[in-house]
Amino acid sequence: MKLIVIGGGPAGYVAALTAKRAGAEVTLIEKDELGGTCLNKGCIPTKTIIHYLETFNKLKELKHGTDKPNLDITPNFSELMKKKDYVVETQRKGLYMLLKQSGVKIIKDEAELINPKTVLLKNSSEKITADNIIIATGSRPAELPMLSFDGKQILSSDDLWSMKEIPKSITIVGAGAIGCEFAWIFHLLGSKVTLIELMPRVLPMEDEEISKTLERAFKKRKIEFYTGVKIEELKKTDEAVEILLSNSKKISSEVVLVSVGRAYNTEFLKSSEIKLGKKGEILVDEYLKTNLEGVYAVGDVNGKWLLAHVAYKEGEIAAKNILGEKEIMDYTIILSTIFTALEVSSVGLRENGALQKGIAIKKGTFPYRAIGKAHAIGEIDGIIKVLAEKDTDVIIGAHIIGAKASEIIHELALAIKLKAKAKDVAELIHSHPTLSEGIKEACADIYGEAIHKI
Amino acid sequence: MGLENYKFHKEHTWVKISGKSTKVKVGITDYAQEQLGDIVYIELPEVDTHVDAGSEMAEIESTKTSSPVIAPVSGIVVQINEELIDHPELINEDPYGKGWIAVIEMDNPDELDDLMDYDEYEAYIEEERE
Repeated sequence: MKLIVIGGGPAGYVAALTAKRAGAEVTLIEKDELGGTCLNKGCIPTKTIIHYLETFNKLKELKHGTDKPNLDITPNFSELMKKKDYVVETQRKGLYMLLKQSGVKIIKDEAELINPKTVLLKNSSEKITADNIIIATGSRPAELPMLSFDGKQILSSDDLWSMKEIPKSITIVGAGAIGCEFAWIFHLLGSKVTLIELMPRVLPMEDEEISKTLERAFKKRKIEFYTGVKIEELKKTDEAVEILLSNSKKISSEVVLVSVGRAYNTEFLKSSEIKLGKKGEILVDEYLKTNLEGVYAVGDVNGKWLLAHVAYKEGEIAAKNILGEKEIMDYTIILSTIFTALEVSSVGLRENGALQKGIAIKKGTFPYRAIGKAHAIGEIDGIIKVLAEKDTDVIIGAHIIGAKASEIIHELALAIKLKAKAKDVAELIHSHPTLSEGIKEACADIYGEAIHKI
Repeated sequence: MGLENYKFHKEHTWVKISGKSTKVKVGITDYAQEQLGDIVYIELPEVDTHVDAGSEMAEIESTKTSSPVIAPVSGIVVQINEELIDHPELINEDPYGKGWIAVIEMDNPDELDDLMDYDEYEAYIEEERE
C-alpha cells in the first residue's frame, strides 16, 4: 500500500510513522520545516520563551532566602531567540531522524492535489501517485478585514518570530489561548500590554470561574484588558497604531498582534472536488475520511480541534483506518492547556456546558492557597474545580488554573475516561507535598469533606 | 477606643460616619483581618458602581483564603483606596485607618440604624469566638 502524507506537522508525521510501522510505503511532503506550527511557531517556541521569562521573573520577585533579593535580570531578546532556535532545531533534527530511520520518504516541496490518487510537486513539476492520501496541511493566523497583516505594525503570531526588538507597547486583539499566552510573554519581556476581546471575558471558551481567576491574575500584574469591546477605529501613524474601542477607550501602541483565530490551509486543493465547510475547513467523517475515496484529512485543517495532541491522535487513527481498521475518532475527552499568567488546563464539561445539556451536576473546588506545596513554591494563586454528575458522582469535567495545571490535570482526564466517581479520587492517598493533593481535596469537596478547606 | 464614629455590620465590615454627611468610609474590622491572615490582594469595587447592603462589594485574598467583603450600607462607590492595589497589607496593619476600602454615597442613611456600635460588635464577636 502506497500512502502520501501532505504536511509534516504533528498530524502528518504521526500518520506517516504509524502507517510506515504497519508496513505501508510512505512519502511525506513538506514545503517548509518538519514539525508544523506546533514545533516551529507555536507550542514549543512559546513554552521555551515562557520558561526563561518566568524563571527570570521568579528571581526578580524573590524577596527571601538570599543576599540578593529582587535580582534584576533583564531579558536579552536576541539571546532568548537563539535559545528558542536551538530547542526548535534539536527537536526538528530528532523528528527528521525518526522519520528517516523508520523509512519514511521525505520530499521538500509544495504539493497540489490533482485527483484522489495523484499529487503534483510544484517545484519539481513531478507527479506522484499513491493508493491513499492524508492531508495534514494545518492552519495559519486568520486575518480581519480591518486589521490586515502588514508585517510591521499589524502582526500575526507568525510575524512575532521575526521581530528584532521588544516593542515598548503592544495591543493584542483577541483574548483566546494565543492572545493570552502572548500577553503574558510580552508582559514578561517588559512591553506595555493591552488585551482586547469581543466576548465578555478572557478565555471565553473556558469555564467562567477560570476566566475570572485569570482576569484577576492579569489585574494583579497590571496587564490591561478590555472585554466585550469592538474596535471602532484604527489609525496607523509612523510611530504607533491608534485604536478607538466601542467603550470610548483610546489605545495607542507600537504594534498590534491579531490573534482572533486560525484559517485553514486548503489552497493546494485547487482543482480537486474535496468538500469544504463554512469556515474553509476540510470536512471529514468520524473515520477522518473526506468525500474523496482514499483521501483523509487530519490535524488543524479539518477544523475539529486545533490542538497538537488531538492532531497526533487523528494522524494515528487515519493511518490505521487506511490500513484496514475501522476506528472512530473520539473527541469526548480532550484536554486543553494554556500557558499564561497562570497555567490553565481543562477537560470535559464546563459548568455552563453541563447546564446547557441539562445535566445536573455536583461541584467541588479547592484553592491553591490551601495547598502546602503551593506555599512552599510561592504559587498560591489558583483554583481546582471538579464537576461530577449529580446522580452518579461520576466525574465529567475538570478545570484547573494555577501552577503546573497542565501536568496535574491528567489524573482527572483518566478519571473521566475510566468513569471514576469523585469518591474514587478523593479516597486515593495522594503524595505529600504535591499540588495534586488539591485534586483529591476538590473531589472530597463534592461531598463537603475537603479537610483543608476553610 | 477612638471608634465612636464607627458602626459595624455582622459580616465584619465597618462604616465611619462624619457628621451629617451621606458619604461614609467603609472597611473591614480588625477581627476580620486577623481571621484572614496576611492579605495579599484586594479586588476593589469600581468607582460609580452601586453596592447593596449585605452583598459582596470587593474580594480579599490572603495567604490562607479568599473572602468577599460585604457592603455594610447601600449606595454608590464614589472613591476607592487605590493605595491598597500595591499595598494590600495596609488592611492588616491599620484596618480602621489607612486600610479603608471605599467611600460610599449612601442611598438611605437610615440603614445605619441597622448596624451595631462598637460595644455591640465586641459582644457579637465574643459570641462568634466561642
